[in-house]
Amino acid sequence: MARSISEIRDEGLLERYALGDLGLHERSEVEAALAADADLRTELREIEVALYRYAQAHRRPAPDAVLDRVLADASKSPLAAVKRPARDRSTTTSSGGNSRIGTWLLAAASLGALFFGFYQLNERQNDRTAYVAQLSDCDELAKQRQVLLAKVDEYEQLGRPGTRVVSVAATEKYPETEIVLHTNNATQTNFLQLQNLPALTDAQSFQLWSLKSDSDPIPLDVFETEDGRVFLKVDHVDNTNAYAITIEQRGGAESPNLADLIGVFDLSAG
Amino acid sequence: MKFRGFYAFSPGLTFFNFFRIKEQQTLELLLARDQKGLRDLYADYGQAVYGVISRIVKQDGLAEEVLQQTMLKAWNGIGSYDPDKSALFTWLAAIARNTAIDAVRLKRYQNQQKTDSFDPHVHDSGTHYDEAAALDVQKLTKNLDEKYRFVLDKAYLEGYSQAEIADEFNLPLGTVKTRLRKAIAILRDQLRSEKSLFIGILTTLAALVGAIYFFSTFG
Repeated sequence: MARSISEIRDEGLLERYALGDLGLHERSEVEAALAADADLRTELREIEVALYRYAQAHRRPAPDAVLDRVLADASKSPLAAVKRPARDRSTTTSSGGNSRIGTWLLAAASLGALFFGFYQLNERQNDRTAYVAQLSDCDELAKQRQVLLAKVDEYEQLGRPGTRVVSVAATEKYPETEIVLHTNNATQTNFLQLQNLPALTDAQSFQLWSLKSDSDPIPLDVFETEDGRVFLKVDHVDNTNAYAITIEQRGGAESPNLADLIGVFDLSAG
Repeated sequence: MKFRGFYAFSPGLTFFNFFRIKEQQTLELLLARDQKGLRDLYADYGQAVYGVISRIVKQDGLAEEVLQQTMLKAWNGIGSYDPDKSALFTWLAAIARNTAIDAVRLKRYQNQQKTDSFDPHVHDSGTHYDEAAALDVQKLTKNLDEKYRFVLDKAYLEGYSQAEIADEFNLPLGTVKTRLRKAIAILRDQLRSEKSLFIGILTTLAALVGAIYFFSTFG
């Protein structure tokens, strides 16, 4: 038994018809209903327009070369013109002919189109601004992700076999500071974990030093911290016997200020 | 024979049926076997159709072949197109979708025969948006929840039937149907809002112009 117009609407058959997702029988039912009901045709039209806009928004530039090939193939198989009943053109346009009122209305319509165009342009600009902001957010998130991945990699290295943990007392001047070194001779990686570092002035930085038996202290990382905690990877320097941390002038120094020595940790300990 | 016609991308312009007239002109050229009709069809709908094809076949070379076949099928089969049953784009998009699905199946079968591997996801060629298209997508989908957009993309842009969506993505068929209807309803609402805005602007201006005309003539 054929479905009613309301059944066709309620069961979503119009949408499926527009999507081409109906079997032969259901398609015939819908087409019969469309032929009989103008409102249904209007509704289908709206669905088709909505879907067209969606497809158009997801468009891709169509290659010119494809069109050239299509035209070439079309030329090879000319067919006779297809006869169709002529359309009654008297109902098509609303230009108004020679009527003065029609001319004024056309002018009003043109102005309306212009205003709407400006409105759309403005909306477009707002959308573009939001889009650019979102792109910037995406870039920022990508950078943060890279930073986090690097951190995860560092933490994973802490758990590798052969990693020794060396806990060292700070100097008497900075008894609150805690120093832990994670060192691995096999992979030649060192991570320094510091907590309760003293507060610095704007003119100061912390500096790490490599201490060797046969040379002057070698300056390594210079760093600051806002919360008194630091976790950093320390460059491997051959033949380092120990590391030292001092407080130096902002940006670091060439030789250590032993008056502000925070701690020395011997790599042979632990 | 009544000609249903088809509405423009900007719903405001549909008030004047500009593109309905344009679609009628294209159809008449195609029926008269004038290749300008084919050019116009390609210019008006080629990009949208190519976007759909690309999402189904996922390979640039194959997508171009399918686009070519689609346009030729449209050219050769224009006599079977009935404007009372669907808009020209809907008809063309259905040809494109079916041709693309057949191409994927054929490629898969041929590669099975050759024992070559064919991964239809080797190259995702369906997401090369330019900024303008990205903005269009953003504007259209801002009111579209991800769950609705998902089923709409699968059904309309990737050629899945509702049953296939339910099967492959483990969703109840009823849910798929409901979400699809909801997605289309949201897009339609957006269209109506834009149309209402345009009509509002136009009515105001028409009233203004009418008043000026009245006073200039009778004042």
